[in-house]
Amino acid sequence: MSEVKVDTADLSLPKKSNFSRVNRKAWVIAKKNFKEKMKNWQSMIWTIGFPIMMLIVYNFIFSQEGEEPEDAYLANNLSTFDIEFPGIVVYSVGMVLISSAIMFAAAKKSGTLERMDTMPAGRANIFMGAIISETFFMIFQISVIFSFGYGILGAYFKSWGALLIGFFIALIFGIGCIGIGLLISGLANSAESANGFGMLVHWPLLFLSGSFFPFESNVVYATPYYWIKQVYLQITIFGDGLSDKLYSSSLIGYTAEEISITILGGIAIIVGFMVVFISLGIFTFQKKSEI
Amino acid sequence: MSVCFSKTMIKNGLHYVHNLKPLNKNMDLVLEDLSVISNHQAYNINESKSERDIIIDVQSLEKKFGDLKAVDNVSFQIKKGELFSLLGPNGAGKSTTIRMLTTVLNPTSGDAIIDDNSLKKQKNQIKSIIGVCPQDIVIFDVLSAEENVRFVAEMHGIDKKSAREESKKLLQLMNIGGRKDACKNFSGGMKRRLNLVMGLVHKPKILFLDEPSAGLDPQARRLVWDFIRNLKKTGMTIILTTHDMVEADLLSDHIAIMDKGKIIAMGTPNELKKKDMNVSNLELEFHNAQELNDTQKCLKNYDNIKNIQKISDIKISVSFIGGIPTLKNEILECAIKVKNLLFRDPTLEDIFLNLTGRSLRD
Ligand SMILES: Nc1ncnc2c1ncn2[C@@H]1O[C@H](COP(=O)(O)OP(=O)(O)O)[C@@H](O)[C@H]1O
Ligand SMILES: [Mg+2]
Repeated sequence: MSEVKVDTADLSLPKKSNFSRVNRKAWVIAKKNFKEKMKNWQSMIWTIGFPIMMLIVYNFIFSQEGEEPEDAYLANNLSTFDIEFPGIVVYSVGMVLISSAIMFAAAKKSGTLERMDTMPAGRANIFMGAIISETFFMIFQISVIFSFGYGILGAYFKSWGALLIGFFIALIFGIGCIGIGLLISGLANSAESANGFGMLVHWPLLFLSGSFFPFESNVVYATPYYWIKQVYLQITIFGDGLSDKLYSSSLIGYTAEEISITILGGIAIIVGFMVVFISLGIFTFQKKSEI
Repeated sequence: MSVCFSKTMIKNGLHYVHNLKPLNKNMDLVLEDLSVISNHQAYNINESKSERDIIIDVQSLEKKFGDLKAVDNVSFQIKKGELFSLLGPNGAGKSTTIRMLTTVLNPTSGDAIIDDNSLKKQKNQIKSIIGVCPQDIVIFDVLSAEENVRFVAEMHGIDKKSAREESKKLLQLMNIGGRKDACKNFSGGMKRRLNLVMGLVHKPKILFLDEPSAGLDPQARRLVWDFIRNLKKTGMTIILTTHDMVEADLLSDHIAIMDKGKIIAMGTPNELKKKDMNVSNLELEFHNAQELNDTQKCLKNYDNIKNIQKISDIKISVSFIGGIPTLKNEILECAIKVKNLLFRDPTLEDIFLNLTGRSLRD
């Protein structure tokens, strides 16, 4: 005969969260997401078709005015197109902010998220699955844009090594953008509003960071886009190392000056941006979808 | 002193003692101070056998949305292999109950023990043994039917090969095996069938079907009913919601009638109908609407007439307390010109009507 004590303290256990460990279910979810993504024409047009179209337009406009004085950039023999290319990368990869916001808001609205919640995986796997699939998609997307921009249109890059580093920087930036997408979808209650909300974040940031046009203002430092564009540009075009200083100018024109932060500092800011926004995105989404 | 408990309710009867769970349920427990147990339910060893058959034990479940109590102190038990229906009109709280039991909605208070797991504390264990067919069709609509079903199977840890085979088999059975295109192109009925297959490809121990036949034509509904009956034969425990009393009557072992968040009656279909023994139902047909109106007005004066419902311009249904003989006078006085008179058994619809004063279809 044994004795059992009734532990009343156990009765008031805090509500156990829905979060579980990440395991191979994340891959199952990622695989499904990736299939969905590749079959979604709209998202393909926005994330790949549009950037390519812009590359063609930029190339057409800027490649032909090489001798004009305002093109006297710090480095010789570079066309405006070469200098603009990093901005296009920021634009294209940043689109993941909108596409992931739409993806999560749609899952919330359509009930597919709820359906996944009834399966033995947990939200941790759902988020991880989304990050994995979006990352794979970005690898595909960046590869297409690189092949087109560098391969076909001949944008300038210093070395293959520099390009590889640029690739990874773009990827880290993209993962941070998934975080912004999550944040937006947590607040939006439909795919349409997530789309609008996403545009409202992405486009102003592109202009305020000087990714498209020179913008000499302290405002640029407040945008994550400036850091990614500047680090990417200085590494891939000038082949700068970790201890080289970043430039103030959005486009390294003649007014550009060195600032006190190095490339390494810039990379730290980009990684920090990623960590902060992924955490904030997951936190907000969880908070807002809790019922 | 030694007392046999297989289930102990303590503290105003709301909480299940979870510490007991790892132990054998039939184990003798010595409780030194029995006074901690108030409002307890004790079963002896003989009863604990049937107790063990209970796979779902819902305990005072409650869900509030702001001020609205969508589910209000609901308790019921479901046995292994049984088909249990929640019957009630729209907005009764059926889906909210299902969403709580399927772990996607946090209860405001209360708990449920599902296959020995607490809904509050062991959501993940519960997720691995349930299958869900939501009321609104939920499919990944750019994917093909097979990709949808395989996804669910793989999420439940079924290996790729078996997942493929099983989904093919089920989709064939549901007559959507031939379609390889995105399921957003499917017809409504096909989508609903896919929705159903996605809930059961992993052969869950417990299957939740939230209005599985809603919006289907009569023929397709019969197919779904047959399918559900066959599932039941495999020993699966099924929880079904419906606002259709015929469906509940035909399929269920037990029915809980829900209204405004509360369970207002519970039992087997026959028990529920017997409960209503005291109430009889009569259908009266008249030659014209005038006669009907006169009779209706006249009948309203009698206390033993519980409810009068208009079926058509010349037809009414009257529920009254007691048998035909007690109604003789009233009939004689009010409805002399009645053309046709039909005495019928009470249906679940009548029961709902008598319990709430409203029709199930309202
Ligand atoms: N997420 C929600 N927020 C607010 N109210 C809700 C929500 N879900 C359901 N309700 C309300 O709860 C009540 C019960 O709804 P539901 O469970 O869907 O009923 P049923 O499935 O029986 O038709 C309804 O009044 C409904 O409007
Ligand atoms: Mg419902």
